Amino acid sequence: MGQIEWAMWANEQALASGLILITGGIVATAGRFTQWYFGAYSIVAGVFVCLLEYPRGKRKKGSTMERWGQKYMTAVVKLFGPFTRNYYIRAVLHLLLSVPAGFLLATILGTACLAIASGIYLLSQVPPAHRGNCRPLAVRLLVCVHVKCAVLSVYAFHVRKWSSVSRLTDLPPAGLSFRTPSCCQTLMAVALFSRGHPHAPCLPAATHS
Amino acid sequence: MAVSWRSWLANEGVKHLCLFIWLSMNVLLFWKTFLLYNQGPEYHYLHQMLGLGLCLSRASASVLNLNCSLILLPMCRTLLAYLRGSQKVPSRRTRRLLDKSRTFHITCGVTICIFSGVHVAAHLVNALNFSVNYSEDFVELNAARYRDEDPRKLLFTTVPGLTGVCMVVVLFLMITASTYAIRVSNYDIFWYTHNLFFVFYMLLTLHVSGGLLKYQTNLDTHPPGCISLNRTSSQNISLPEYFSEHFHEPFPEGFSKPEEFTQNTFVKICMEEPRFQANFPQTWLWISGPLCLYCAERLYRYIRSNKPVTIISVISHPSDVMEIRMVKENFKARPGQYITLHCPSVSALENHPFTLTMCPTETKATFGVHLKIVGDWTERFRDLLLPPSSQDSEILPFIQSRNYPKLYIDGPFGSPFEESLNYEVSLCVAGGIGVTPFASILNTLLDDWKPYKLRRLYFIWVCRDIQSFRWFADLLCMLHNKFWQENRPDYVNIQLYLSQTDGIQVCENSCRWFEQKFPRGKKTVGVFCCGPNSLSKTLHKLSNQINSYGTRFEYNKESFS
Repeated sequence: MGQIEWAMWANEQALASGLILITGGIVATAGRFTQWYFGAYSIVAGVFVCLLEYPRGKRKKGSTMERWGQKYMTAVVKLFGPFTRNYYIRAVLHLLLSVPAGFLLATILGTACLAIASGIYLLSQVPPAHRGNCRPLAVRLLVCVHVKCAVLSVYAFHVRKWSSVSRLTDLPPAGLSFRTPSCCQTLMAVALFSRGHPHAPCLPAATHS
Repeated sequence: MAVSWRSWLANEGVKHLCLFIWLSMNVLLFWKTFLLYNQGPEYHYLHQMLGLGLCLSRASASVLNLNCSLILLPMCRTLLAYLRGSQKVPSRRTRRLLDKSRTFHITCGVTICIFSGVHVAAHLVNALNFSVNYSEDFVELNAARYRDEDPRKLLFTTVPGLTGVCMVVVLFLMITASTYAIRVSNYDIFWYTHNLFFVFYMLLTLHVSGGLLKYQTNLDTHPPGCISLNRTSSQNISLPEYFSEHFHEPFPEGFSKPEEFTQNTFVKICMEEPRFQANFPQTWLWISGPLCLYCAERLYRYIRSNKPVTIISVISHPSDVMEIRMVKENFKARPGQYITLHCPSVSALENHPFTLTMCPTETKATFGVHLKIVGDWTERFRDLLLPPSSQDSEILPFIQSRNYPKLYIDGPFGSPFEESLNYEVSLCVAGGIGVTPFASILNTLLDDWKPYKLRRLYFIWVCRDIQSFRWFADLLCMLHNKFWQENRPDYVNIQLYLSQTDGIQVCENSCRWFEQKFPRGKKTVGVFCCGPNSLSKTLHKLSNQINSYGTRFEYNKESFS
């Protein structure tokens, strides 16, 4: 659990919360809810959060999957320096932005979601050593504490669909020389199967180019 | 190149047909429910109060019912593995549909996400309308306690409202953690939050029990829109005056007396006050079956995986690959299937799937997996099984068998690669460690090839490092020798490639392969790929293209993340 990059998840949550705020704001403004001006605020705040969170941050380990066209927003976000780079500031900012939207029914869910994203950003700043000390039960409760309801038991199994095949896309650097294999069977296999056996019958399917 | 309609139909046809059927069911449900609440007489008064929000919320709810029930079915992996292997599904075309189970699960998930948004938005408007349009005439129809009650109170103090908010939060956590970027980089987050689905379903069963939306039960004695005589007599208004107040049009010609008009027009008289009753929670009927099935499957898997395996040997291979051979009582598996490993000494919660590279046979109970050491779990697992000093050489640590940690397995589960033995001609393309499903196929052929339909196998293996070929060098050599000795030298055709820095070479060769290497005539060739996405996408495209010989290529692939 100590290796999880929580900030990446917080980024997805904040982006989704921005969209929820925009939708709630549109419903409130179009439906002419009382205090509909909170709906207008919600649209503006939602757009701001979406623009801020659109660039996906660089991962600590491994390659980062950038969102389409994020480099343009990255240039703008970078201008604000530590105010946007620091996740503590981002967590506080999201919490403050979410509060006014909580006064209106249509946008109250956007508040809840943005507050959760703020909490996950804060969690991402907890040092990994302390996170690793969490026992599995505490970890489950941490996820469930965001759910304002009775917690039922969570299954004990965790399945991780592992594949190292995707690593093949990381091609070796140029100039790397392959070591000659010591196992003669490998040489036999490569020789036999790559070039075809001299006594191979003359069938179109068995010949090699 | 142009697309071959025969190949396209074989590869994409059934999938698209199922998608069309599923879409039609959704559209039909949505439309039927929308019309029911928009025009149905039993919801006349409720519709007057709530308007379009009622129709949209109920229609989206019916779509959610369908998808919440269907989404669990593709996750019953043991059941799917049973269907794949049994004679109950004789058609290969239908079995190939099972390969798309994960894609179908995601499709239902996305639909749930979209229609939950519609449902929530519509119900928020309903909450407002319950408050603003509080009805003094039909008090039991109201959800609000008084006119202009704060709609937020309705949201947080009613069972449907509170459970709905909680469900939105749970769905929000699940959806944000299910994106492709998170699954690829932090699968742990995805898995832990996805287990919240059980909480979601419990909340759903409570959500629909609230009974806030009611229908009218006595339509015959109180047709909607009827005139209530009790009200007119109590207000001392005579009928003609009543009509002149409420109907501004003059009396139609031919009626000389208002009394005749009241008897012969469509306006009905109410015999009694309307009575309302809450809808029966249909959701319980929709989700109970699949939920019970899924819970039964999980229970069965838990019981089946409760006994640990006995590790026979651990072998270290080059390029960070480790092979584990083990035995377990009553364990049966077909070539191409995969299992999940659970080692409590490494992690109490994590299970990791690995394809079987050797399956148990009638004569030999040993089965094995090859693991590539990439993440923290596999690294810790390797350190437990192989001491650091022996990790660089191939060993058979018989002395250390007493120190092996307890290992539990779950499975076996089915995969598309099981079909490779059911074609007359199969083409298997593997990238790196993706060779593992084909290794089990080759091991099975080494044991006995005659019982299977397969008569020719083309095997292409692409690796980054030449040392990687040592993982199965023994197997390839033994297989080659066996077929030469049995005078079937053309049974297996193996090509090994090394990927260079300018790209994977197989892309260039595969075009020629598809054109020249396969038997001429209208044959069906099974194409199987286990490798990087770029490789599988190219092969998929090539499989759908026209070739000069009319050969049909059926493409099979397993999706990982």
